[in-house]
Amino acid sequence: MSAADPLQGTLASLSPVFESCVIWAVRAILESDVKVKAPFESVHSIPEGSSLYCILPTANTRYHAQLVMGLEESEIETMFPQEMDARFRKDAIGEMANVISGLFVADDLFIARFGYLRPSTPFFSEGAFTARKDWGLMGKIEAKGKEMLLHFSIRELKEPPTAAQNEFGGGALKREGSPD
Amino acid sequence: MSKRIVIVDDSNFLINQLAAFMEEAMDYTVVGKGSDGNQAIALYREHKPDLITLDITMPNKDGMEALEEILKEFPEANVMMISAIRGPEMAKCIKMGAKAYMEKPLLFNEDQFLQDFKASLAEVFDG
Repeated sequence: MSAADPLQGTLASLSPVFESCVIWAVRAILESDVKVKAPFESVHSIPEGSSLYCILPTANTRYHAQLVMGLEESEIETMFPQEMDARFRKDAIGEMANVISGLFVADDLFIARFGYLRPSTPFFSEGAFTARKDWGLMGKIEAKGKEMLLHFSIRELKEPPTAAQNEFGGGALKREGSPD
Repeated sequence: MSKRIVIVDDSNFLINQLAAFMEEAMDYTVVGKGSDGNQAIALYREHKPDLITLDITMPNKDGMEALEEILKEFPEANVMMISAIRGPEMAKCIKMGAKAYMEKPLLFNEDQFLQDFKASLAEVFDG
């Protein structure tokens, strides 16, 4: 992929939008201050370094995208101390991904460039996972003293996605951990 | 007598939050909880509640399909969509017959959210 890929420039221009969606959603859901620990910028890399990933695919007939939230599984309890059930805490992370993605893909600038992308349901990958390198936006935030990595990638499809691709990440992901 | 509600969402976290809010703050009785569109239809048939809330993105059968089937069978059903999806789906649900649409996140601790939520409920029941 050359550095002249037009997606790179488009994504760079959407970086402030993505950042504001992330900050608003996390602040609202966790009822906590949110600090940016690593600036949001366009990248051509895959997210890594977290023990748990929440993955939320979105797609239309032309594009496939996915939001990945990376965090430490042992720290989720700190984020949702009122929730006793570990499964429900994971659900809460999925809700956060839903809201971030829902806000971002509904942004006017995003829709003007990519059209409307419909979300699928979130799923989880524990430990490492491999992903195809697509252009994306990545940054890190801190909320309630815990870091979260946010990565939104998108690629143009040669063929429309199948239902299974929409459900499981367009073939971009091969889960290596224990899926939820 | 309190109104009866069925809550359907694929997030148990959200179901519990909303159920607690509806029972404690709005004086509703939660008569059913489900996690996909098929359960939504079954729960509606079983309980015929005063209100059913549906998420849009759910496994097996999504909320829009469930909305269509519930309204086909029960045209008088009061359906409130509750989803993180913003965009054309929102207008489509209302056009299909949903009485209200609330965007996630549900900010139960914010006054503005409470006002909006109560206004949506009023719209459902008073038209």
